Amino acid sequence: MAAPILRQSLLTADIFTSSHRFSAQISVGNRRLADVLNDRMTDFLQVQSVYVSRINTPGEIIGRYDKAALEKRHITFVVLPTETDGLSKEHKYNAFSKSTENIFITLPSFEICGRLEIIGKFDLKAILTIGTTRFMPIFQGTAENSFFPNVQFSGPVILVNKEAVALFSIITED
Amino acid sequence: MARILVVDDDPDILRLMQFTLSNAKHTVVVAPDGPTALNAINKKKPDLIIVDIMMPQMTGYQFTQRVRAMPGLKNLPILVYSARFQPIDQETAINAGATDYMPKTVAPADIVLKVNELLADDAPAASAPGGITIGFFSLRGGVGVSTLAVNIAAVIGLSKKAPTVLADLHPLAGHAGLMLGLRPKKSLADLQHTSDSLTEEVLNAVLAPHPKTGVRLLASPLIRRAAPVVHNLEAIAKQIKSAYPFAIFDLPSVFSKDVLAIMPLLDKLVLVTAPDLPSLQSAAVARKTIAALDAPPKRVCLVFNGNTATPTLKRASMEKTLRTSLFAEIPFEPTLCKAIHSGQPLALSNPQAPFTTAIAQLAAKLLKE
Repeated sequence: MAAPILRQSLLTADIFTSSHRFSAQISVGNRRLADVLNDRMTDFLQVQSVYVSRINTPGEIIGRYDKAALEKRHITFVVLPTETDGLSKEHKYNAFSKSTENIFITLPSFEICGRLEIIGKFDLKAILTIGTTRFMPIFQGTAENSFFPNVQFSGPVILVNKEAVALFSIITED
Repeated sequence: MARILVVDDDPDILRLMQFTLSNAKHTVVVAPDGPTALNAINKKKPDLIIVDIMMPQMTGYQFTQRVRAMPGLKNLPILVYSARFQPIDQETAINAGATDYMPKTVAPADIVLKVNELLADDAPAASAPGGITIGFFSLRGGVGVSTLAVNIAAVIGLSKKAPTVLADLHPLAGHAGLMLGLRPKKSLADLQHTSDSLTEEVLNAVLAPHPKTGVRLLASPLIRRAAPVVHNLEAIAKQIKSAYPFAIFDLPSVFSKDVLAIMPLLDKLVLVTAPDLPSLQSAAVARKTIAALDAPPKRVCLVFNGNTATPTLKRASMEKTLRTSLFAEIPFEPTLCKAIHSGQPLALSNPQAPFTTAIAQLAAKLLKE
């Protein structure tokens, strides 16, 4: 028997707003999720097989829906199971100018720690304002709920909605 | 080898599981949803169930609860296999009654490994009748195998008021005697040619009693000339198991022929690991090796021993990498070295220490589960 080949066009991810967790399948076609989220042609994200949990009881499933649409501006962050899906296909690395910073971000109801990779000069404001991408990848990220600190989510990459960021800071080592 | 029921609404996953598990010589039955799977359980009598969480009609949590409510299925291994990969999802699955949890990001080889591990846990004891035998093992030295074995033996010896043997099976210079403050004249080396004549009396003559706990120590030789390779560890272990209600084996850090021969005699193997990368690697290799054994221990219990004040790995990282839950965690204890110097197991000399509490809980769990 030949090994079955899995369809790669459907991706399962955890999508978060300030109040809910949605575990859903997203049809990405031949793109990556980062590209789908950053697609400025639409303000909505089409999802299927959505399992809804409240943020204070994120293990408990309160509803399931075959199809749904999410407004991208309300998505605060997305946790992905693999690093590859969090990177845009157009993401280019420059070995000479790439730097890494440990960062701390606050979002509505959440605080995120992780690693941000930057190409070129590091400028906090520019990262949030320049460019057309709405979501930025935070590597080895952990999201902690501000009201329920025992509610934590982590993953190899977290895509953070830059428009939802309140505080964006660098963690400096003492 | 075993009949496995896989429940998932994704046909690709069902095909992948069927392919992977069939290649590992298991018989695979598939079901696309919870209700179909519940019907299949009575007809197909699976030895193990693999279930997804996110399914229409019935979630994997609901399915697991329904299975656990069915008569005679309280202990059937249920492995939750889900794209929801957060620690809270693992916790929810275990609370619903699942035996273990794996995220869908794992490689097929790891699924087979986990399935074999769960089937081995569930298998009836292959060991000879006799007392409860618990082995302590690590492929890496210095992680605290002997420390845990000695302290657990001391706690069991004290609490059970029943003869308990601590067998230090290191071929030379094991530390159990030192930690108990004993320097026995006889050791494992005195049993090296006794395969045929190894009776309970011969064994008893070599054991050194520990006055405070009643633990009887089979010491490791301390003199090299008295320590040629002991070829009959299996026979010694069998004799201990048949003669004593409780036996703790402090095993050398190698999968030697003799150590492998002892594995099926063990009711539990405590695989000790510590918060550093080499220990993690050793634990991963040991688990894979044990899972591949024809005659494994009845159950493998991964214990995380915080043997340093400056850990470089956290428990969560260890669990994530090894893709299993820890059986127990022992906290770092700064006065442990002092206790070893004084020849007093810390579990006796400092009953208030968090270490002692954790050891007592571990001992209770090892004897109970």
